[in-house]
Amino acid sequence: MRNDLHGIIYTLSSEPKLRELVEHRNSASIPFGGRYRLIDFALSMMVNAGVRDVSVIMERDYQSLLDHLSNGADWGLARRSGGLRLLPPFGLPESHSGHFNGCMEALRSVGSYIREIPSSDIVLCAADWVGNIDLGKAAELHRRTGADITAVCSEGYGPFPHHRLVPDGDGFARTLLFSEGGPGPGLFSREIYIIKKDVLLQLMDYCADAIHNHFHRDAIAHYLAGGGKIAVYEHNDYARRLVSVSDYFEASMDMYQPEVMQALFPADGLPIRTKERAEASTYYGETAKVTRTLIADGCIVEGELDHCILFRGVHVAKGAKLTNCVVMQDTVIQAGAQMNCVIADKDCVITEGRLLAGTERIPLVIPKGQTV
Amino acid sequence: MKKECIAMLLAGGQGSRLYALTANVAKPNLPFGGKYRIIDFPLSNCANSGIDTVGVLTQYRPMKLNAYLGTGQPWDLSADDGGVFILPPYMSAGEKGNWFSGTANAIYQNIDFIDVRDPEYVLILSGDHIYKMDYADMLREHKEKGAACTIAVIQVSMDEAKRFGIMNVGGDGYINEFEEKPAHPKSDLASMGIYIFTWKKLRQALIEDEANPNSQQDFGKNIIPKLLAAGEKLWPYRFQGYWRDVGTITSLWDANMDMLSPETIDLYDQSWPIMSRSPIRPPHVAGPEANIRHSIVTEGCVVDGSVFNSVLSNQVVVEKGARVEYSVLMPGAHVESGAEVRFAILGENARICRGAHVGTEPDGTDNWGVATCGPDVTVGPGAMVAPGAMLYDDLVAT
Repeated sequence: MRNDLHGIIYTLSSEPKLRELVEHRNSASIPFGGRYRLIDFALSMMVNAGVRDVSVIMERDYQSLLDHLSNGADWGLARRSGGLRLLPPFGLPESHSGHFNGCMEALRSVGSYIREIPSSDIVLCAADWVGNIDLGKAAELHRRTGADITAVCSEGYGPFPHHRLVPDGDGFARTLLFSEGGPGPGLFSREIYIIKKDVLLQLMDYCADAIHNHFHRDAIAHYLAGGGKIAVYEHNDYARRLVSVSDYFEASMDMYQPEVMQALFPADGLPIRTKERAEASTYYGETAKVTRTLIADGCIVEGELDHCILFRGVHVAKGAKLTNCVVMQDTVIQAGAQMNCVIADKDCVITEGRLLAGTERIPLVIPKGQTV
Repeated sequence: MKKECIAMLLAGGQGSRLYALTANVAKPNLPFGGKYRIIDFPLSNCANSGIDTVGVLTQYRPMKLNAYLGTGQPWDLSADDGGVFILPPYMSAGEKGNWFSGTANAIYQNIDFIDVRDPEYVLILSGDHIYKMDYADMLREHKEKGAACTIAVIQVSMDEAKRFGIMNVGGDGYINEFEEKPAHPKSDLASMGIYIFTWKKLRQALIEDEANPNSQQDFGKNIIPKLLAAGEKLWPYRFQGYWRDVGTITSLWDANMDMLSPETIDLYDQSWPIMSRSPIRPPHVAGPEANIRHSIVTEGCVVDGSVFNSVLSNQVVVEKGARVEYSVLMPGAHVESGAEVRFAILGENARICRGAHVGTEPDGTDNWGVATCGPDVTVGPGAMVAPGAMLYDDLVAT
């Protein structure tokens, strides 16, 4: 169903704890779940809610994101009017690093574009999380309450620094809290907001200088201090932000469980879309032995896998034995290699008979394109 | 809009020898080899050969096929000046309109479509063959030999030759005789039903054939003999490689099993990709109890049982304790715990309930055959489907 929302996805400078995973890419384009990039979750959420125009504010390392998103056709966003708009950080001064310190800085870099958006409301979110949130329902709440701002929040907490909104009896939040990580009062902000365009422009005007870069600390706090209130849409199904390699690994290892698969990929709607590739189905050889594993199309599996994720086009040769591993697209695992708690990035070759091991807390990461 | 060569793909056949599987869909739209539909093979061959305009002639139950083809974008056939064009039979002013009465008549009824593109050559394809072929190479030979028609042929055994249209070749290498299913074949070159015609010659032959009330308006039976009789040059293009016609239950099952042997056809070769329109589904999951060997599994499947020597299309479920062997499971087929499926084809969304048995191993008797469950059929708990059976409707244990 069509609606009057314009989506904005922003990418911030990547968390250093993501290490090798963000060496060649922004966190938005980290491969996840066998065939996705992180941005697919934010983008699909918008498309599934009927958002027809989505802009992506890109950071400096955007080559892999450009390659992934292309013209947006795989998300149904290649259109004559509207559709996907990729916004490089064109509005920044020459001296700027090209990395954003906060959402307000990212928005400021494309201020002139935002002013021209014809929609009355804007959905704003980051691209470093995994989940499948029914944004249509949040938009319905936003319309029904007539709120200036609606926030998607969850019970529980994140292990990383985050913001919390405390709803009052009428369902509106008037209090914003900062948590260093761990439990606290109120609800955990998923950093997904629906906001009236006029209100966003006012907040951007307030945050016009380089010391007001942060959405919560600067814009939301200012809005609430001025007597504003925020409608809260609760999403308590599976969703998580990925800010470190160990988060990434843990989230990947959860994937094979039926409840996680059902929450992320419900059988009856809200599909997560991604870039299509022409691939055959996956072939299992005579010697394959595979349990607790997710495998995308185009793989050839002749070895043993337990508790792994294989992206598209991976080859696992006979006699190779992998446990607790994530193997990204087109990587080749040669005969007899043994791996435990390893994340092998794209286009790697793990040669014959190698033994590689990390631990559950500190998985070993093989960077993109390496031959081990 | 001038094109050197365009393709016309005959996709109107009912596929009546596939019975329940094609009761509601056209044969070219049947799932095949896990990820594919049969029509993906000729369409991908066109795209990979650089042919960007494909007319698809539909007639029998075309709705799902039309939806599958869409704009042709999955096969990179949605260019501004080309694309996939669905061509159903139609009516003209003052006429009653006619169904396509034969393969040649289907092309005859679309002469206008071809004339607009004004091609030098027209490639005629079938929508029910599994193969990878470079049509550009065939066209090169057609031009080199100055032929009016080039027919792709494949070498078969003399025994098999009795089941095919056989091309007899003269000393100069050109075809001098065509025999449909000869009792005593003189050659082992079987027609693959793939033709390149010089359009001017074909156009003339179609118009003349249409005027002949005794003609069956068929390429093999009428047009080829007519060109031979007229002394036109017909050249055999010898194809080497994997090629199968999948018109019967046995041949459909056989060809699916061939996909398990990389030496028959390499589907992983990135230089000649077979493209398809895929539903948006996550990777497949092999559960804690899964045991999958020598099989093909597609995205969206959930397997927690045993799967041996089988081909699973997308969204197939094989529950814990279920067993699937030497079988072809089309999209959405579901095998419940304790059920066994052997030497069988399960149509789309077929459901095999707890403890049910479908098919058995070959027992050497003539009565044995691959068991088939039609689309959306439910085989009730504990029910048995005999080998060679063709199930159109739900079955309850007796």
